[in-house]
Amino acid sequence: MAYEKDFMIRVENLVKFYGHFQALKGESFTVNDGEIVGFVGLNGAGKTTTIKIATGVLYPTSGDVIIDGYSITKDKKKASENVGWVPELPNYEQDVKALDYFVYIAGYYKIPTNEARSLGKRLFEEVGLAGRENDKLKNYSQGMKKRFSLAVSLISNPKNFLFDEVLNGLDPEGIQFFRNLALRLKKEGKAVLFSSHILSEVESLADRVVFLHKGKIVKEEKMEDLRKLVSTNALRIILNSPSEEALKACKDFGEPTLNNGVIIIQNFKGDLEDVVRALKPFGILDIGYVRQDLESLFFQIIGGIQ
Amino acid sequence: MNPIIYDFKRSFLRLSVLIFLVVFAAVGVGIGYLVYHFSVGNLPASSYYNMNFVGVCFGFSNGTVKVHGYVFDNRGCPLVATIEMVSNSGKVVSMTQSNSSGFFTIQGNNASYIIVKYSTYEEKAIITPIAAAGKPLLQQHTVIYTHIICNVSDFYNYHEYYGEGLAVITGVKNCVGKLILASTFNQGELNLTFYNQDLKAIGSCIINYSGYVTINSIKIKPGTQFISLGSKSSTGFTIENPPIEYSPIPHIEYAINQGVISSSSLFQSFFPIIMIYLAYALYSKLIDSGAIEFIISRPLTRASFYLTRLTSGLLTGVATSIIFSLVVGGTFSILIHYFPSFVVIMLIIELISILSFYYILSFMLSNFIKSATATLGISIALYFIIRIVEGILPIFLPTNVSNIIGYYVNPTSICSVATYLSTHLTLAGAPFNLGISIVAQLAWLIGLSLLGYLKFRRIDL
Repeated sequence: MAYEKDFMIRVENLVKFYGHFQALKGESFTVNDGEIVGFVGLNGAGKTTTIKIATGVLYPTSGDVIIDGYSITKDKKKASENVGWVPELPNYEQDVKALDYFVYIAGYYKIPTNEARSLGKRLFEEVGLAGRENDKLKNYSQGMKKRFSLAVSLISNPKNFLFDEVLNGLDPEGIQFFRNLALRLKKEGKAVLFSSHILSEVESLADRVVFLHKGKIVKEEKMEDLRKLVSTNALRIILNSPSEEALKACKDFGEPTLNNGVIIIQNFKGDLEDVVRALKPFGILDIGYVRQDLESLFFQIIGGIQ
Repeated sequence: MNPIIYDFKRSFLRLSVLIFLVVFAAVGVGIGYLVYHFSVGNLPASSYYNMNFVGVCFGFSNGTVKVHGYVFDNRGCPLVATIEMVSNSGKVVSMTQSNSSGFFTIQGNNASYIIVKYSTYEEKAIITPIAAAGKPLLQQHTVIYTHIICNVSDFYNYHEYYGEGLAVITGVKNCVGKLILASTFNQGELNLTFYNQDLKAIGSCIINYSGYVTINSIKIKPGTQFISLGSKSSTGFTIENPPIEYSPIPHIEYAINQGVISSSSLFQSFFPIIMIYLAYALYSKLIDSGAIEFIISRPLTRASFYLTRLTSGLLTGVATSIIFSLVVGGTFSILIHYFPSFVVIMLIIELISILSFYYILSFMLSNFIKSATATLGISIALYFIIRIVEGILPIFLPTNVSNIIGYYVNPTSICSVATYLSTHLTLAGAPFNLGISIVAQLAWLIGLSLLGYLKFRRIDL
């Protein structure tokens, strides 16, 4: 049954019990077309469980995930066709050659062998695995396994992607590759759910962030709103030639201090433009509000919940 | 690529499967060859020919010899063959051809034997100038002797020489065969009585013949294991013969049956363990390691994945059974120029029953035991326990209880049925009902598969 097609990925009131332990406590959120949603939470918060339910690997105790209008619990085949998944720790059958396994998986998408083989070669090249097609998967590194997962997830050219801690264990080149890929997918109008521990990466990529804690969504904000949230009432100025004179000029706007050539104006009052004008003679290199990082905000949020 | 074919290729072309298949097939061929030497290896080559003939020979006082005969293949069908009558010095004194109905009459002077040629086959039969009965008959009609000549391969179902004649039943299919009768009397009555394995008469039939060589279609009573002949000639001469063995499949196939059973014993004992290992490699390990998640996240349901892996493993079992059986059967085919299809089919059924059960058993257990190695160990232990119990129970239990367990409760009941058929060749008088045995076997296979699926359907991977 196809649902009203409003969101590409719609997580609806997910509840998951493992025995008596409740891993998910009724979470709901959406990922829209052309959007990267950061999925943030501590270990055991329920991120991977949520993503595994969205891929159809796990059954929810209640609730559902709607992919492109199809329920993953009721119409799994169609829902799965429309989603690509790169797991945190890719795990495959070991004694198989990568391209052969790709062709096998493509069989589930009803792609004929020859077509799958040429598609495989193209995608292997695209994800940076060219020349390693005939290696056995057990000989792949963690990064290569993630790239292989990505190649497989691109088989059906889905509109939705689930990246589970995809940057973990990758070298800088790998991180760069996946970051660029996520941005490219976004540009192509695809929906990307991007779970990560590296919050700075989430900050640089996500349009929206969903904070998950102990199986519950504790906050869901657009990144621009989050940036406002993490801003403080302190102004940070880097001058070309910092001096006592410059410090004196700042006293009209709050309580300035000079440290290592950087002026911080606490309890800033006034207009940013006035400060710029006043300090222009000293050569302003950088000026902006002092911000706390996303980690601090996250711990503030979950601290409040606890 | 269709995932079933891919999984089948991956399971069948697995090194362990191929190595064990080759090793067991080689051992099977070796044992088969050994048994061949002790059982059918000493038979003359003509025992394997697809050409036979029977005839009645008349010797006249002036030295003329006349033979009425019939040339036929192993199914009893007529053959157009060349017949030569040859003197003691090797000179062909007369030559003819059997007609399209296989019959021939040939006549010549001072002949010592006849040669029948068909295709690459060539067989001869000696003309004994002294009557087989030991005295000249019908001297008033100048016939000084008469006797039966024949050369019949070992593909007959029944073969009896009864003094004044020869009865051969061949080409039996669905209890209907051909009775080829050669008699020194050109008219008479032949009474056939059918007996079961306990030598209890279960039916009879009367054949009235007119002619020295006659071909009759005959319906054999199902369950017949022995046939006795009684004959009454037109002159009132009667003979009653004791029952002798009848086999519903060609006699030679029955003879090599023991060889095939011996050849497959090692395979039957150890290949189930390979199937258990296959279930471990294709399924248990996948669940245990978590590699199943990557596949399950594709556009497929758990049911289709379960079915795919189950089917591919079973296909491997079926293919292995067929290949092994064909190799063993092929060995005999090379040795005796005949493929023992019945024995091979029975062997295939036995092997499929055993291999499928142990594969499914291990497959099912994988859903209940998280550790793949524990599943492997428990499955192998269960295999030995079941085989030992199967062997021991009949010693302690009354026959009827033992039969119920062997043919109905036994998870490889069809294997027991096929083994029974291999040795008894008929289901008539069998201590089991075939339908119930088939249902019992299917219940085990389907039941265990279903049980495993019901668990797999809900487990958290």
